[in-house]
Amino acid sequence: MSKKSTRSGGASAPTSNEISGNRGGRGRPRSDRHYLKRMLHFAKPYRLGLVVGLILLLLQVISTNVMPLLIKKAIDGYLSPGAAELPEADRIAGLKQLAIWMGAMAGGMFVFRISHAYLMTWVGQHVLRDLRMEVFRKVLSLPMRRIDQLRIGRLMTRATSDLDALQDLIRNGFIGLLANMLLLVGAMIFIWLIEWRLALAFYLVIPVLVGLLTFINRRSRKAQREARSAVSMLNSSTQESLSGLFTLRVFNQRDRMRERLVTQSDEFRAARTRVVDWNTWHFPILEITRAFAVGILVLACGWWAPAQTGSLVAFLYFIRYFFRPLEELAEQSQQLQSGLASAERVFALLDEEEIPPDPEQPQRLDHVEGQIEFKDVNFAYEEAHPVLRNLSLKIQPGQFVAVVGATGAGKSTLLSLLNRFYDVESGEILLDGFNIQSFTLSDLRKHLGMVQQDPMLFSGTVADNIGLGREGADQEAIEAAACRVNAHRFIEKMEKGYQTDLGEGGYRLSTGQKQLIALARILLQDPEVILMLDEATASVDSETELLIQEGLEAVRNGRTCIAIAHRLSTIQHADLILVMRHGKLVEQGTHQQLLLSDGYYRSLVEAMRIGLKV
Amino acid sequence: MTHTTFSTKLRPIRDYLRLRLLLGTVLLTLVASVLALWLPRLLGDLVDGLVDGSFSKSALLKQVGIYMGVALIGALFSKWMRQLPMRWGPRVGHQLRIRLHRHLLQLDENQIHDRRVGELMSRLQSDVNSVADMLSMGGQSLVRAVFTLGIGFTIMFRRSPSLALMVSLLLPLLMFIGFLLIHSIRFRHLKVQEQLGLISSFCQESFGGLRILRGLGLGKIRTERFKILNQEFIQRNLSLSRIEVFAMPLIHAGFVLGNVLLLWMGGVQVIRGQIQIGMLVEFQQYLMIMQWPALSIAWTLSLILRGRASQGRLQEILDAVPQVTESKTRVTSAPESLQSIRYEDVSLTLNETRVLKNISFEVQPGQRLGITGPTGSGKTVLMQLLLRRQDPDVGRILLGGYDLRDLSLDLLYNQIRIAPQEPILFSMSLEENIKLAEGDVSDENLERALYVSALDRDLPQLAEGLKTRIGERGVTLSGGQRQRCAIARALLSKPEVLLLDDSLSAVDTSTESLILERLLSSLDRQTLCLISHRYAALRHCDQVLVLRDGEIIERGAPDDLLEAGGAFADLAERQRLQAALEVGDE
Repeated sequence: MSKKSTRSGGASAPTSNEISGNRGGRGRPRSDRHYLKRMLHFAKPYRLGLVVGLILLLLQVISTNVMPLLIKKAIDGYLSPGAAELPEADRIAGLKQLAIWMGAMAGGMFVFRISHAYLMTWVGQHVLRDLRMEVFRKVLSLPMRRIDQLRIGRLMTRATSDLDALQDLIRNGFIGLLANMLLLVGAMIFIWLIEWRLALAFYLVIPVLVGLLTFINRRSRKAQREARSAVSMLNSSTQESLSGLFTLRVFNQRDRMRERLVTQSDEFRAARTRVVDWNTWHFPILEITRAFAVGILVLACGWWAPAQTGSLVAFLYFIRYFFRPLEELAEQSQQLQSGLASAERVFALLDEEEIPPDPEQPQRLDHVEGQIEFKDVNFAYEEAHPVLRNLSLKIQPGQFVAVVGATGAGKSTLLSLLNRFYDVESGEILLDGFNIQSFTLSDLRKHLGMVQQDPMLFSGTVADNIGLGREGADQEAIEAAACRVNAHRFIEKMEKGYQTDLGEGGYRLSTGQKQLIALARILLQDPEVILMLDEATASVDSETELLIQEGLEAVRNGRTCIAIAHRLSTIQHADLILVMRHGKLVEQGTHQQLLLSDGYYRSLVEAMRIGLKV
Repeated sequence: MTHTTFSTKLRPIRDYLRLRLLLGTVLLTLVASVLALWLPRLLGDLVDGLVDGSFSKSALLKQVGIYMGVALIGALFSKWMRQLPMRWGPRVGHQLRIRLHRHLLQLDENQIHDRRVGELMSRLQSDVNSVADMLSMGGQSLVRAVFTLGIGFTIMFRRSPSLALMVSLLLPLLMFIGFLLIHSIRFRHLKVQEQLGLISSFCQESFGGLRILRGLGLGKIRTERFKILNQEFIQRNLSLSRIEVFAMPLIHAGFVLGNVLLLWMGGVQVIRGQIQIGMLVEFQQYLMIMQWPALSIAWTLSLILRGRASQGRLQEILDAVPQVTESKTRVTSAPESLQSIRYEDVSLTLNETRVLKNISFEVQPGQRLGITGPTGSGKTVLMQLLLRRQDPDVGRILLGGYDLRDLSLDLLYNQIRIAPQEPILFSMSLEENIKLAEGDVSDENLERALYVSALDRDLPQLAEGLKTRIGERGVTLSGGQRQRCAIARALLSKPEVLLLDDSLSAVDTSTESLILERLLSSLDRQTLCLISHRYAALRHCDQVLVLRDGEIIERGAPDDLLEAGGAFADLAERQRLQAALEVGDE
């Protein structure tokens, strides 16, 4: 946020709103190693799992590579012409022995491989869970102002698709990469042990294969990018054509749109065809390099080691252990790149500044009388547009205060400052004589009840939603609260009553019903001060409206209440009316007093009389 | 406009098959399989030669040369064998899309909304893809599996029946395992996705409802619940993983097991002098080559199952038939311009609600009609009937004395232009958006439209003026700018009838009055229908209709209505007061 002021020159630099990794002003993002390190930090709690995984991996490497050695032994020892001196029965018995060993090795390999893969999934999922929890926790503790800047959509992207990319990064980029490197190195060492000259001939294949695969992978990725951009163009045209069908028709544009769709679809087809053309090289390249490896091997064998039949067969067997890791490495090294881009974004979010911490020695707040005072409060969401200017006001305990004024006068900001969604720029707000910043946030908010403009309910049951008001509230308390705000009756009528699920695809409540449930929630919270952001909405029928009015009465009962009011009937009965205009308190007093003074309030009232929402 | 007939059947799969392509695939696969399956034999011979030392160095070179040559040619065929049928996928996808788009564009907007755009979009993508995949990938791997396995087993049984028998017992086992795994992985994968959806909507809910969460101090509880969701996510992932980790190792283990068995059974035969070592190598290679085609059968089956289901869903789209159609005896040209409007006892029911009840009114050529009324009173529907967004259930609408249903759509849409409240702009340049319907527009006309809609004042702020690209990949216009763009679009061709459907609602008051002023003075003999909530706009009309719940509750000249003191008078009074309050607020 402080970045903002340093950027004063760049008027419309949108980047100031973005979570970018480019801190410290330099264009270069932090090094990849930095993010690897931070990822490792998250893996720390699971280091035991990682160590065991590494051991399993080594065992897998060994058991995998011992297999060809056994084959070599079987051929040289019992099958090759050189072994002909041994009696046939001994040779068969020896072979059987080796076959059993091989079976055991295959079993070991199987077990090690599976347990390694499972363990690594386990670790990866837990690391990812921790990251996801951290991202979630982070968003929940960002200042409201920062949330407004970052937008919910972008935060969602961090919490979903970027974390998905990190999952791939962990699985393929780190774990898979390491495993394949070890498998490859293991195979290289073992074949060196068998016959170093053959091994050298064999190593020749590595750069060729990796080079070729990287080449086609790169081309294929490029084509895939083109295909993606072609398909997103096609999709947005399709979307447009579907949602703009009527416009297209009345402007006689259906044919033109159709042509456009055909062209774009054809571009997509062409790009996909390029992808196919590159991708279909993959297996043929594997086949041909494998054949060349075999050819070189046979030649090398013929030149240098004609008698080493066992080694040759063992090598033929090794090809498989050579090619699989190579093939995967070519793919994974590229995934690493794209995964790191997401890592950068996620960690940049985790580096965001949080809400300032609670004071070290907070003022205790067990009970609130309800005296509220604003002293010279100034506030702006954006520097250039002050919302509240030198606002001072005083509210006595138990008062019912109505805040009135035109849209944009700063009414709801007043309430948002009181419960510290935002902090004042200058001046102070006192509750019972103490600056509200001297309390802990949770203490403060416990005593302030908010009636929101849009009564938002969370997924879960009706009882869950009411129960949010007070931790550990029992069914009886929940029902009592619902009764007092007139919600009990309609809840009871629902098939599952209080256990009705309100989640996605669950029961659909009307706006009025949501209001009532939200009111029950506040009643359960039992705060001393009520902040009412809005009265009953216009979108409810008159019967429900009456219920909500009564519910509000129940909630307000005896408490200090500050309400943003639009309804003359409500305003008339207020103990104090605050009239706001352009962020200033222009008039205050009771209805009668203000009417007599014949000022701005009077014209507001006139407007309200004819039902105009101000 | 072209008049497409509605042959609504999706062409059967065989229509997408081309004989040449099919034959080509079969031939290429045949050659590729033969070449690939020739290699083990060559390698076996090489090994035998090395074992008994019968090769001279030049003979060895020659043999290796042949081996590599066959491999190279084989690899090329293997590439073509894949490329030919796989290229077919994008092509079939393209053909399907063209067909679906063409059909969708003929439908009425109401039908699209019934199905919801999002759902349609996903069908157009995933279903088209899975049909294309079924035909290309599925076809390719099926043909390949048939040839590789067929030729492979033939060769193997001829080389060594006992070893071939062993391999032929192993492969079906692997196939079966593969089939089981694919199914259970798919199921568990869906479970994981489902939980991921829950997590993502939990985030959405929490981030979006942050103020409430904070107000109630629920951060900790939410975090706890998020943890539980994550725990379940881990469980489901691990449950998927428990199957998934088996897939590759199991296949691999099967392969290794096959090798061990080969070495043992074959080894005994070698020791007994029945076969040579080369044969062992040869069979090991067969096993390697045939393993994947065998496994791919399971995968191909699931591709085909999915493809068939998608095909059915696409057919459903094509089954929808548009309701607004042209009559066969349509009027395609009118002797004079069509300017008078007449609604005769029009009623309309949408979704079992009567949205218009017995509406009758008449507008003379060149008159200005104002329509007002609360949200949901039927104003927009009333106006859109004139453009045949749908046809009334009862009654009729006449334009220039013709029943709308007798006019050709071309003629109708050339007479009338509409600027809706929420206009659709397409991702093209601003100029193209304005000129949407008109090919050739004189600069004079364009300038007039820009002037009237007051867009001329915005142009300097746009980087590339009229050429500025609008939409997703371009500039996002404000709601007011979009509306004014729609007004310019509607004005461009000087239509006989101009419909403004609350098309200044997002424009600020001062610009609104400017536009109204310019608009009214630029209209000469055109008929104007204006939906508005603002008295300032309505007072210029010759006749005003006030709608409520689909009925006309007041009608008459604005001044008469003011005097009568009904809903219209209330509206005017309210706005007068509001204006008074807002003075100085700007």
